[in-house]
Amino acid sequence: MEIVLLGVNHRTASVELRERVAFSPEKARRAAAELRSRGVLSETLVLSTCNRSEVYGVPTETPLETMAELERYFAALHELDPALLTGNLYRHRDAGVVRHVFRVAAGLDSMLLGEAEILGQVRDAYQAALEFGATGPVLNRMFQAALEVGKRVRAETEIGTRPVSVAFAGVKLAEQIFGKLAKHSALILGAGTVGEQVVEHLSDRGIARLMVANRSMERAREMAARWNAEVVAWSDLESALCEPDMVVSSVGAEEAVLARPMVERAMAARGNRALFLIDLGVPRNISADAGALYNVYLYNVDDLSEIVENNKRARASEIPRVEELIDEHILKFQTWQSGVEITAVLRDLREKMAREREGFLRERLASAENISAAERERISRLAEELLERVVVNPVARLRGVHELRQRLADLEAVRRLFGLDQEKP
Amino acid sequence: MLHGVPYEDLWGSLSFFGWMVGLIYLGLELVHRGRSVGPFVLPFVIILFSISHIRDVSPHPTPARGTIFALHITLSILAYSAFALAAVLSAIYLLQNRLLRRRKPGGTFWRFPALDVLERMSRSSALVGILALVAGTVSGFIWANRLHGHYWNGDPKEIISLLMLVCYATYLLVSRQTAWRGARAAMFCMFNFALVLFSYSIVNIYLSRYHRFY
Repeated sequence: MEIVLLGVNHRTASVELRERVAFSPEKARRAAAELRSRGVLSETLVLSTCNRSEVYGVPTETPLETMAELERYFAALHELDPALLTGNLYRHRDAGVVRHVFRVAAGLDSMLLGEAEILGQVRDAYQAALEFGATGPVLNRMFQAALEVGKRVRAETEIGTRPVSVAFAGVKLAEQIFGKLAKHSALILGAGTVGEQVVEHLSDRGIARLMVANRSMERAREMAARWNAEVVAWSDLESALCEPDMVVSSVGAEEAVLARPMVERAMAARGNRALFLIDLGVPRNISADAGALYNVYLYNVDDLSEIVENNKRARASEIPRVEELIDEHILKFQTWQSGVEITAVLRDLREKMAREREGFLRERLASAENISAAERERISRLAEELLERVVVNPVARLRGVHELRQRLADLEAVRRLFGLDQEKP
Repeated sequence: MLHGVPYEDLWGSLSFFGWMVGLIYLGLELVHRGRSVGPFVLPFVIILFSISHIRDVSPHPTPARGTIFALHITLSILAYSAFALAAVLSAIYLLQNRLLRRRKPGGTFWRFPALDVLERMSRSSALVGILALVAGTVSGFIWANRLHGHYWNGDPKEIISLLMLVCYATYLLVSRQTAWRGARAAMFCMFNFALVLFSYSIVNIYLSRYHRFY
């Protein structure tokens, strides 16, 4: 029972190539159907995201032939010159495939280490293949295990907990202060790329109310329309400060937009209700000493960048723990796999013995004419019994080995010694 | 403590205290749906249990006591436990607030509950404490009246209990409405707990005539 994987990802291929080998859901279904009807794979699953295009499968031929066949098909399906793929593809077999898919689900193979989105994408890909009937016992088992790995990694390690983008760090900090943002409001000053990302995250997290203010009223209206926000006149900035729980500022201005006295007056008017200020402007939009005011939390771009850098390091330091968890699940999967393998080997062995017995009896009894049909039947049964008795102990021993490496070695030995591989139809 | 309310000695009352802290925390966890405070509360409970097991309980004759008395003890210890929990939550609040204000959040910071959640949990806990203390004190007065014929005995325990009520009620008010909300309110909550500890220790052992262990 082999598993193969062929794919490209952000590490091996440029974005141009990744775009060309992306699978739409229809294309994924078509590939699954064709690969099976052509007898290349008995089970298939296509995982295609912006950073990867991968085909998982259980081969019907020997893995090497299948791999070559799969590669040709991959190029043909995407209408690519196969030469374009050389050097950009990776191929894995068996344990390599298992480790790869577990690492993908854990977020170790992602561009942004530990990101959570990939787990949902793996789940969707698996669901789609399952519903299409493209998977079978092996891939089902492997992908269920991968999803479990992903879930455990997120619950038991810190690889995905800390924000690693400036915008998201700002939003997570807001949540550390206010809890859920569903009853809170934010005021956005000016417009910048990061500021815009913050707004997107805030909307994602269900912020109740957004307000925008800009020096140019026109620009403010435009932003308000895009984000479904309210417009605050630039001249009313000070009075507007009484309301929001957080202010995100990215204004291109030489001097501070929010000076300490202004924030101080606002805090007095707010009855010191906590105010979270994110200053994304360079030069800074909010006087640094405003951060010393009671219940004011002020973060500038550098503060957030430093947090992000620390968090990236913290995520990287979690890799060994994640790998440990992955190893544990690989072992579990291989144990299951070897159990299935034992059953297959024993079935092959019995079939081979049956063939041998019949051939032997046919040969030896052909010339013996004075043996009645009943006696022939009896001899046949005795021969069968004898063979059963010969293998009963080896079979028990084979099943009795619990150490995985030993078990795989035994299986291999049985296959080799009895020549089970060559005769496989 | 296999039978009824543990009002025989300090150790039993401490053990009971521990149980109550755990119980109230579970309640808070259910109401506020935040579980990350648990690890900070648990050591507290364990310490209380450990202290309560330092000494074997020596059974000694007890004067006849009734339901009201048992109620008085239970409610008072419940109140103290709730106040203890409010203090722990306020301490975590202060820690979290400090990390946020220094702009160097790291370590376990990201797994901590939000300031707002801590504040609300602390307030709920203080509210539970106040309600339990009011009921406990009232039952105490009733019991005192039965025993001595009058409600007010001028015992230091009575005075400090009323003081605690006033302080915690003030905390509830301050933490919600005034310019002191936030870190200052949290510090006030911890100061209030110092009062509880004072009542539980010095007042019991040296000052009060009627309250020996709780």
